[in-house]
This record gives sequence, C-alpha cells and structure tokens, in this order.
Amino acid sequence: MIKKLMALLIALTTAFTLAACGNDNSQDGHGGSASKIAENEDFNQADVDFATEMIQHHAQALSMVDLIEGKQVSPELTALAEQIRMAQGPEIETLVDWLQDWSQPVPETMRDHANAHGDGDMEMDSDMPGMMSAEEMEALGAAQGPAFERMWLEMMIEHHEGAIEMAKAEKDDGEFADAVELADTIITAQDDEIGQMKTMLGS
Amino acid sequence: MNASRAISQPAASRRAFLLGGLATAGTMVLAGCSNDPSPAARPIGATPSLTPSAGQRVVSQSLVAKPTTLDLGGVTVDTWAYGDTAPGPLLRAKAGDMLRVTVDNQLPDDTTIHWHGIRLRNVADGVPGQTQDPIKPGTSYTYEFTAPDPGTYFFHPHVGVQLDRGLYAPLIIDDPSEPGRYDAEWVVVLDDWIDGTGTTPDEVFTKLTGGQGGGMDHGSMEGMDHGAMRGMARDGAQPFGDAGDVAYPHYVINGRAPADPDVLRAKPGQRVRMRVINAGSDTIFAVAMGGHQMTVTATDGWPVEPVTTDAFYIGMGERYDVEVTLDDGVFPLVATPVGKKGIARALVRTGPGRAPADDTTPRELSGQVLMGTDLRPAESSRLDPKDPDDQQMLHLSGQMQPYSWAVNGKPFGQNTPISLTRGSRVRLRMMNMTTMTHPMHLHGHTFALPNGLRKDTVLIAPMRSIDVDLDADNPGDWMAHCHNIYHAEAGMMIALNYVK
Repeated sequence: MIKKLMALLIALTTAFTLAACGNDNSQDGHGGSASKIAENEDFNQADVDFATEMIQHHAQALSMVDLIEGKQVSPELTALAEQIRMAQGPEIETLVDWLQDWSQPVPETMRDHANAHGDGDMEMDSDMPGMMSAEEMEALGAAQGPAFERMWLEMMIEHHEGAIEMAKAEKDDGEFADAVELADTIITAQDDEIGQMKTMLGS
Repeated sequence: MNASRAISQPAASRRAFLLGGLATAGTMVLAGCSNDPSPAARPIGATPSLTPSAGQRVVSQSLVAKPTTLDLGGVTVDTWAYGDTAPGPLLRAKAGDMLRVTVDNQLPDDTTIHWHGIRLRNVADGVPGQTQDPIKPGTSYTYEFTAPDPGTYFFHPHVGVQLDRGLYAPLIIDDPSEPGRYDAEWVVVLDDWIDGTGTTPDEVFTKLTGGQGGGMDHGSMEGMDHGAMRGMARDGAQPFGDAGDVAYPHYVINGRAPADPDVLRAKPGQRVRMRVINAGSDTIFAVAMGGHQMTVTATDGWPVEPVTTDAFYIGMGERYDVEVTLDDGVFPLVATPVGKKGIARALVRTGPGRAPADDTTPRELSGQVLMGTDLRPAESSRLDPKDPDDQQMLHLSGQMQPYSWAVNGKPFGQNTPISLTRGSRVRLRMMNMTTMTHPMHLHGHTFALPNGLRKDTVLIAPMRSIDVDLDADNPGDWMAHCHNIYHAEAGMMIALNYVK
C-alpha cells in the first residue's frame, strides 16, 4: 500500500515537473505542440507527433539496454542490445534535429527525467504503444539470469511492435519525406529484430 | 514523506535552485556523500617514488589544504583552500620537467590532488581507491610526475565534491620552444561559488540526492531561478539545454566577485595571452571582453587553427588560450553562467577612466559565441591517421528523481570498467541521450574529436553523441567522467583499465 502510494506520488510529482519544465510552449508530452504549423511547411502535425513520441519511445529502449549492465546474459543478447543502441541512439539525434528545425519542443525522456530502474515513470508515456510501465521496468531490473533474458526479450518484442505501429501511423499520415523514410527504416529493422528475438526465445 | 514535500521537490529539481541561506546545516546526514568515490576501494599502498632522469629539472612546491576564510570581494566565506587564496598558488613548469608537490592535508576530511589534463604516470593521478590511498587528515603526501606536454591545466581534489570548495589552482606547463609572442599573460580562473554562503557543497549534494535530513525544504523554492529552466534549445539561442542543477549565489573570476574584481593593468596595444580555466562545478560560462575580439589559439593545452570571435563557451574542466590586443581604456572581462542568473567579471585597465557598472554585459556576448567543438586542430595537434583497433561505448544516463547519474546503465562502482589494450587506437563513443549537457573528461590521455581537435574535456550537448579517438599509450587504471562534480559524485564516471 505504501509503495503504491509512493509510486502515485512520484507519478504526480513527475507530471508536475514536466508541467513546470515547459517554457512558454506548453508541453504535455503527447507531441501536442503549441507552436502552430504554417500551411506552407513541408511537415505536418503527424510528423511532429511521430518525432516527439519516437524520441521518448526510443529512449525507453535505451534504458532497457542499460538494464543489461551487470546481468549474466547470452552473447547474442549483448550483441542484439548493442545493435539496438547503435540504431536508436542516432535515430533520436535525427528526430531531435527535425524538431529543432521545425521550432518544436524536444520532449523530456526517461533518460533523465524518470527512472530507468522503475522508481518513477512518466504518465505521459503510458498511451504510446509498447511503452513499459514503471512497474514493468522495475520488475525487469530486478530479474536475474535466464528469467531476466526471457523477460527482456518479451518486453523488447512488445516495445518494437509498438514502435512499428507508431511508424505505420507516420507512413499513413506524415508529410515530411525524411520522416516517412525513417518510419520505413524502423519498420524494417525492428521487424527483423522481432524475428531474431522470437528465435532467441526458442519459440 | 508527506504529499506536500513530494510535490514540491521536483519543482526545484529540474531548475537550478539557490541553496544559500538555508539553515539546515548541522542536521545534514552526509551518508550520500561518500568521501571516496570508489565503493570498491582497496588499499593501494605506498606510491613508488620517481627519480628525475639525467638533466631533468625538478620543480618543487608545497601546498597546504586547509579550512580558511576568504574575501571574495565584498563577500566573506569560510571555505577550504590551498593556503589562504582561491585559486591557490600558480604552479608552473616547463614541458619535460618533473614536478614534486607535497600536500599537507589540514582539512577535516580525506583529500587527493588530480592534475587535470596532464598525461602523467598513473600513480600520480590522484584518484583515491584507484591510484592511491586517500590522504588522511593531518598527513602529507608527495606527488611526483613528469609533465610532458605544454599547455594550460589546473589541479583540484578528486574526492567527493571538494572541487566546489576553494580547492583549485592553475597549472601552466610552458613550451620551451615557443616564441615570445605575447607582451603579457593573464591566467583567468572562472568559478561558481556557494561554499560558506550558508551551505557547503556536501550539503548541496545531499539536497540534490534527497539525502536523509536534508530534503528539499520549502524555503529553497524562493531562490528558484526560473531563467535556468530553458529545456532544450528551442530557438537555437541556447545550445546546451538544461545546463546546470545548482544556481550559485556568486560567480567569480580569480576568486573575486564583480563588486571588487581582479584587474589586469597593461598598456594600450599590448598583446595579452589569456589562459582561461573553468574550475566551476556545475556551470558552463560564455566569456567575452568588452570592446574586444579574442583569438582562440589553444584548448586543453593543444594548439588550434586560430579563430577570432566575439565570445566563447567554456565548460567545466575545459581550458582555452586566447589572444587579445588591448585597446585604450577600462574594459570588463565577463563570464556569464549559461542558463543561470548572475555574472562573473574582471577588469582590464590600460588607461584612466571609470570602470563600467558591475553588471554590464558586453555586447560581444550577443555576437558570435564560439563552440569549442567547432575549432579545428593545428596540424601539430593531430593524431596520426589510423583506423581504430577497438570501439568502446560510454552511454550517459541519469535522472533527477531520485538524483542519479550513470555511465553504461549503472553508477560508478557498479558499472563494468572499460578495458584498454596498450598500443591500440581506441574509439570511444560517448552517447548523451539526456536533456543536460555533460563535460566529459578523460584522465591521463587526450582524445581527438572527429575533426581531429585534441581535447581532454568535451561538452556533449543534449541528445548528441560524439566519437573520440585516443591512443592507449599510458598504462594504468584511469577514469572518464562528467566534470559536473555533482553528476560525477552521483555516479557519472567509469574506469578505463589497461589489460594487465
């Protein structure tokens, strides 16, 4: 009970922080930007939402990669995690570039706002497909050995499936050519990795 | 914990907050501020002595680390310093000299000295638990090392958050073959100051980490600096995102607050070499001299292709050498803390006249402000072209609630040291997917940025990665860490150990 209460308080306080963090642009973390997009721009709200949410989504994947540190895992998992990091880190940089080019706010992420180890999480993340809750991240962080590896793979598959869903939405609704192309790249790469992870789970 | 405290905490957390004036001293529990940054510290034993080689000059100096009272120029503080000044006494030698520095620790705490940027022998690096046992209160310790490379350096403790006291001093290694192109030299040490203003750096750290007994008293909200929370660069005006965690009551140049500043007296037309050192713990500065342009000639001891600019940024632990030809009159040298309120300044006087007001901000600060990473190396500073033999990741992460920072997913002591093989060219990928800028510093080596620029401390902006190459040519157990001392102490540090 006390733990639940604490989690709630942390969630509330995190929301409060985020509210306080926005400058004149209100920033609710849903990609809803106060900056109006002009008619003649080569990007639209779907592009902005895609970039904003994918930054947060990728950041959580990086935090899941971080959780491998200090665990006994297979070399395959280590290699896959590194592959995910080397794909998604640079993609975050690209997404940030776009938001800055578009004069849109760059979202906070769990890389430094909420806890990679589950003590806190951002409520704002919960409606993105495949985002893990604070409790799930905490459980993953606490797991050891084969159970950790299995849980990591299962969660990363779900996380990747969520990213693919978000990327498909961008393909349908986005306007900015590079973003639509990145969405394609994400769909292809993460679909491959899902196959790889399912194999590793030993089906 | 009650609801009001929980809710009020984060409001301060992502903003710089002013801790001065809080009467919480004495109730602090410093459990979070281990004096030894290495939880796995084992006794190291006696440090092997160093014998000067034939003909090698030995530069000897004694330092006393002690509690003292300093006048910062209208502000009196109780602090810890090397002697009775901050910065401490200038230490100066020629490239190739051996330095022999004895430290008498009269502090009530363990200490060490780290010779920031010097490519020295590992045992003299000053990292407790890694290269030496900490210097206990009431004992002395002698550092002996050769300083091979000319340049602008400084030294400071590598224990806890002692850097944020007055424990720092410039270290200049002269180039015996350098032509005397300057009429004057001015060593300019920048610092953010909070020690002795009603709190101490240890208390600041305890508050940041939400340590027992400290907490975030509601009173601290009053000092909140709204200007500090800019988020990421939304308008391109502020390249460093959320640049610091602490708003300081004072910013000083050469230990002087703006009201009673350090003054350089020179003649009009003289060429001055300024050696600018950021000894701050949590503050990136933008530096400019009113009425002048500056030519940057070196960073972290390495010559660059000279660039003339209105102003430049300098992160914690970075150094820049700049040349200025002085005009006739009285001019402010100003360092403004990025993302925070306040100003540090000194004066240049080449003629009669009234000093500008304390808070005058030179228009140069609104001009071109150079990013160090945009500099290009002088040819002499380049590494030999070579493909890396090995790649290693330094992935930075952290959080404010609770305050915690890490490299590769775990704080220092829990993360796995990086292995270096002697003789190899190693590429370090430093990935910063956080909303803060981190000045990453490497001990015992310098690295080359992708454009070849040599440095030992580099600012990595939010959501950016940088690949740096180094030659693993100095065996030992070394450190890489964020030079925000609060981040480092909270765990944003990793060991780089040579394979034995």
